[in-house]
Amino acid sequence: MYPLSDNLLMAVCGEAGDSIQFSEYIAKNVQLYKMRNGYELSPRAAANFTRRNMAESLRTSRSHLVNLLIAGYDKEEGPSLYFLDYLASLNKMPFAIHGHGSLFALSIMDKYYEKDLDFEGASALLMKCITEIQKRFIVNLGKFRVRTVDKNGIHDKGTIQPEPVVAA
Amino acid sequence: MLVKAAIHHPHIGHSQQRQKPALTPKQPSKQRNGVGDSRRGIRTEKQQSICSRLDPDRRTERGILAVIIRVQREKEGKEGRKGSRLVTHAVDNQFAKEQFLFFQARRYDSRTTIFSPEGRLYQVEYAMEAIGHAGTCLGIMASDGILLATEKRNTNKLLDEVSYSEKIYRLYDDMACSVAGITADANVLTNELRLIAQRYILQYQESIPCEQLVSTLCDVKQAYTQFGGKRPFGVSILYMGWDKHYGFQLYQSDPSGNYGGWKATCIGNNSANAISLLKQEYKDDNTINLSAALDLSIKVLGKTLDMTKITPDKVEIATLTRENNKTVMRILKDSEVEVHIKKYEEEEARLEAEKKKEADKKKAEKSDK
Repeated sequence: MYPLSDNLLMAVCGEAGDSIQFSEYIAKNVQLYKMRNGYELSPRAAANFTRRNMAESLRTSRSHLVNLLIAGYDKEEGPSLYFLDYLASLNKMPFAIHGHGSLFALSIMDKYYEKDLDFEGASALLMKCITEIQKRFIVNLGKFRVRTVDKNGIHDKGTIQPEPVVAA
Repeated sequence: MLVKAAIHHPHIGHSQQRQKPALTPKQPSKQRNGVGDSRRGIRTEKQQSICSRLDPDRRTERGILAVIIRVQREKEGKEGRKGSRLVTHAVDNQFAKEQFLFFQARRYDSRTTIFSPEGRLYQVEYAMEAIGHAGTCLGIMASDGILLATEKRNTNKLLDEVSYSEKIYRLYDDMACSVAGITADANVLTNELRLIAQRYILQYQESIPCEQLVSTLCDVKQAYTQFGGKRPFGVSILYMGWDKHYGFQLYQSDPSGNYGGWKATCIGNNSANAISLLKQEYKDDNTINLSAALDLSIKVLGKTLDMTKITPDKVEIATLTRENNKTVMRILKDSEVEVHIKKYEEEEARLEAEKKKEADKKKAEKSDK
């Protein structure tokens, strides 16, 4: 997970080397933009910038195989979450997930997500997802780090370590 | 006439260029017929003695000497004579001297990228001078919008009005500019501006913030004052725009690549007068609204353009406002401009009448006494 700027957060998964290389490249470019212009990229602009770089690298022989989630808060547009996969398809989503066991969690979020979810509700939904993955996915994924983004910036909410489920 | 012919001769420029790297003396190895290889700047004894006869300033001009030799050679024809004679001949030749003086005089201002001894770049200054003769452009920022007003010079009635506007260009959704200077150069620059704006949109899916567009273009303009063989763009530009960071903005850029943000400013013919008038008349941008700004623009143009009566076909005015979260740009119709002109004329007439009254009053008082 990479903080890109004051209220922009990016979570990465995919090829180990690629994910570091690519996300660092994006993070530094977002920082460069801020230094050059004195203001930050909006989440929308940053997401589209990332998508463009991904799309360009995809069409070379050395493409980055990385999946991304970009979360940000904009004064005018409010909070936003962007889903970006390694084929450079970008979507603004109410909820999104990448990686192992993602489909289990996706169905849970699809069922329980409500439009005006507050932070408490979202946390509860997150817990539901983690328990579901823990229950149905064959691998024990260990800890989950939680961070949030709001108008005051990025906040660290610690880690969640679910109890290992032992089949009866 | 001879001088001219020689300057345009392609070989001369060529030989002078070749001369450059040889400014550090080499051992005099290659000699032909007693003539040093002038293309490499190696001198024979004869040449050196000629050089020492020249005044010290000339001695430094090895390149020029090479040109002289070359020119002379062309004149003598290919059958050639003894080299030593050629050189002696060349220096004494009036034509060659003129040649030399010509290069001497234009040492600093014929190249854009060379500083003069006073530390100035003449070509850039000449470019600014060119703009001083161009049609006037005026920009005023208001609380609810922004405007650009330009002087229209092509008022020939035979002109087919195919183009939408003469000097005001729309750059992208949120920005427009007007130009003063060489129109051909301006077309290149506005094309570049549009490209810059679209490249940004392609990368970020967002409109480019105003200042970024201006500063990116100014990087291009600056490059033409630094890299060899180029002439600066003879264009000053006024930009009006809106972005989410700083709202309405007005910028001005000039051929040197400098730019600045303004509340109200003017470029082109008689711009200094217009600016001082704006300084007097402009109230803070929070209090002046677009309609008042339009009146002001007509007033300033009316007083600074060298024409007796201002008419709608001689000015072009564009406004930029925000409506329903969208930027709206509009070129004013003649009838709308007419309204403001009328208002200006009435105001002027009223002031005139008042003045007259005052003068009459004074006269009357005097005669009473």
